[in-house]
Amino acid sequence: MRTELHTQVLPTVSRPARYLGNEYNSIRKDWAEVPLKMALAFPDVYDVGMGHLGLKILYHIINQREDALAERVFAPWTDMEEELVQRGLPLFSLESCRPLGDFHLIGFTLQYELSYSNILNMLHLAGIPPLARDRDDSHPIIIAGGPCAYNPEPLADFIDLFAIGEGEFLIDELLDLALGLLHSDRVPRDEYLLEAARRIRGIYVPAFYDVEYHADGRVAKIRPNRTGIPPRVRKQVVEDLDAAPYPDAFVVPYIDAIHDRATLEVFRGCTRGCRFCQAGMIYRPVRERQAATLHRQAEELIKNTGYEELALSSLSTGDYTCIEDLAADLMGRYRDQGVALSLPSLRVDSFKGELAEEIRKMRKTSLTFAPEAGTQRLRDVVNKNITEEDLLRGVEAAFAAGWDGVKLYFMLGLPTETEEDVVGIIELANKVLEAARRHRKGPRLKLSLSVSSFVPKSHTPFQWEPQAAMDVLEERQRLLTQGITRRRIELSWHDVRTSFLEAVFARGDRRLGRVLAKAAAAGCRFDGWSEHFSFDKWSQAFAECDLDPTFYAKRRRDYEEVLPWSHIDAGVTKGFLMREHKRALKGQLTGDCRVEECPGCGVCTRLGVAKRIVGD
Amino acid sequence: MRVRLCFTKGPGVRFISHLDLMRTFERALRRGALPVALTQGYHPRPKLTFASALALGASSEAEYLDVELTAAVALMEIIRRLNDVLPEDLRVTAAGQVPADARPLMAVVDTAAYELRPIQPLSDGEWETLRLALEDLLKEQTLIVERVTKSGRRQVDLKPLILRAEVPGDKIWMLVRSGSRGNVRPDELLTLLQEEPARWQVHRVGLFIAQNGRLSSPMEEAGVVVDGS
Repeated sequence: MRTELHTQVLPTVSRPARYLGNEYNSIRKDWAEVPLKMALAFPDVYDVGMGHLGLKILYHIINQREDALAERVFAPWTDMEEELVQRGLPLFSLESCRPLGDFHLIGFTLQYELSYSNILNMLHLAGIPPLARDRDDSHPIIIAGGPCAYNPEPLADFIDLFAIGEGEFLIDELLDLALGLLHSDRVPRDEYLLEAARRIRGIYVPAFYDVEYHADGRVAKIRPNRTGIPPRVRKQVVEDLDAAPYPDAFVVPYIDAIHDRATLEVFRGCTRGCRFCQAGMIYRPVRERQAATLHRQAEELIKNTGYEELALSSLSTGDYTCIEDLAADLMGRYRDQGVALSLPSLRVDSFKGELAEEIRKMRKTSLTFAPEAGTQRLRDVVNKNITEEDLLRGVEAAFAAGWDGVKLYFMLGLPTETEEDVVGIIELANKVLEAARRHRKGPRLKLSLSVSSFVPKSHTPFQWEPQAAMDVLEERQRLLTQGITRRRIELSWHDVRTSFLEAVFARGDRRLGRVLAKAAAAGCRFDGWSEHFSFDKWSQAFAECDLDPTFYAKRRRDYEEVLPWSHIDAGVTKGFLMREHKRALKGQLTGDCRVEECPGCGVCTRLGVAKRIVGD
Repeated sequence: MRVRLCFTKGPGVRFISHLDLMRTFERALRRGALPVALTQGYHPRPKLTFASALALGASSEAEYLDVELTAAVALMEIIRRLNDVLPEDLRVTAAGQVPADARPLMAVVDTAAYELRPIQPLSDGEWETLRLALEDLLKEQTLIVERVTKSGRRQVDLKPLILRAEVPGDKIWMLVRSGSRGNVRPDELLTLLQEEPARWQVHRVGLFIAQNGRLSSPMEEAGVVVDGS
């Protein structure tokens, strides 16, 4: 197959280096020597998937083992898909060019609801029946994890087993169990799923749960249909990140992939408590890595990859206790080698003059601030604890330090939003531009406004909220375009239909499986890519299944309703989410447990894992 | 210290674009802990210059790049350290020190030799037809091809740029201008021969500097050359 790939297929497809599989630090083990084989699948194109840290971590952990191997597979771009179909070739793993069906386990990472159709398409291209009930012992076990697994229901028909929570130790439990049951080169499906669901924390096997519905379509009951299956699946968390495995060598892509750099995860979790933010809820508690650990990891990564960029990553990097020392030390250490430091996801109020100066010395990208809403009232509603003064001070510091451009993120359609809040975005943008002008003149000065639409997510205080209607969102987008008149302000927004579909799947139930199957069969894939997204095909699929998508996206749910993900336990209590929701509607702020009193989200006590702040 | 490296691009990396190859070398130099000089400015980059871009899909026997080092390193040591950290199928085969005032590689390299082999074997008859087609082609006074560039369509006469072309057995061999003095792409010759370029594998055999009626290797500018192959 490799010969055919190299002589016949690769010369005809775009960016052929996506499919080589021989990148530096890629690991090709002797297939015959290793008993257990797992494919790590990312349901988007290589260029996007290679930037994903979780994939690198799992690849490292599995390949460290002598008894298992991990190989990568990404969604083939549409030209490659055509070639595969025309030639009758199955979707293959990159490292050894094996059909996906040859692996014992396939693990999909779920980062984005609009990549679900790609999962079905990838299974289909691999010749693996997409429906779990059509598979037998001759097929791989299909596993999925990642943030979208916190509402696994729309994928319940297709995925055998969901891994809820953090994978560093969970993956070994899954592999050990498979190795223990491996017989004649097969993992017995029923036994494996049952044992995993019974014995491993964080494992959810949808087939072991029955869902009952009310006549109006709301979920009435979710309960296990086998003995020994937990009624609620609680996420797995890593207690001590310093002791958790972390790759010392990333696979270095040939092509320009996103986030193609050495990445340090300075901490996990975020306790700022933005009420729309799912990551801020499901990755709790906050656990920081020691500076010594980060320095060691930086050293190994730069030495082994040769990357020109070192990124300090987390949900809110500026919150890291010793961020200024760490940033300054790392910058000083690698400057002579031409390695630039980048700090994605900085929050406005963590941005200080000295740090700004340091970062700018080796700038790579423009600076990003995320006020999310245009008025203080709405920022209080979402608990984005930033004032206009904070923002303007941060922006001034940035421009004073020499930046020519900043990017501001906003969301439209947040709960309680009115036109006044939209006008607030315009006014705020103008003020930011004024502030910038005090420090920078000239043609390069630029302010980018990126405006997305609010998508209510499971396990957040806004999980009961409806998404704003598409025409309302479009009207507000129009209001923005008309109001933004300054030439230096560049406005970009998201397609409201994409956000609508995202909202449907983010809080959908397992009846959506039929819609997904229909849409995928109709050719839906790469839905997150505007050039491939077909809202018509999706609408058709909903109509054919007699399901109303607005039931999921636009309906206000009450606290008593059994939510489709109520059997998944992310650690935070329902009481906390309700309290936060009520406080939101009253515009009351809730503090950050890093520095203020515990708001009682329940994670630490219920999971038995404490927050870890360096220096505490 | 300015070092000239000669390297091969094997079949495993022939689908890597020139831009990607440059990045690959920048990273390999850092992995090899070689003291590469950086450009000035906010966005420092290693000082590397390549002789000539190779088309996507082509492999090569001999590509060249110059790299500026801030400290002296033994040539053999440079080869060893780089080959330890380069991806498979990229191999440094020789290194030499060139004078600091040597002209840039891309300005001096002006000739390239290629071997083109069909992916599916051709019959003896097909080879004979091809040989005759090539003979006829080379008898033409002009060989006009159209190139599409960013600035629009442009007609180019390849005739003076094709120095030699023949079919010695089971391949097409061509020696053509490449670089600052004009350029012939192997796929252009194939198209003129009514061949489908995607059915041929292109291998660059060498890059040369034409001087006083002879072809010299870019390594000849270097005083000392270490062969690491």
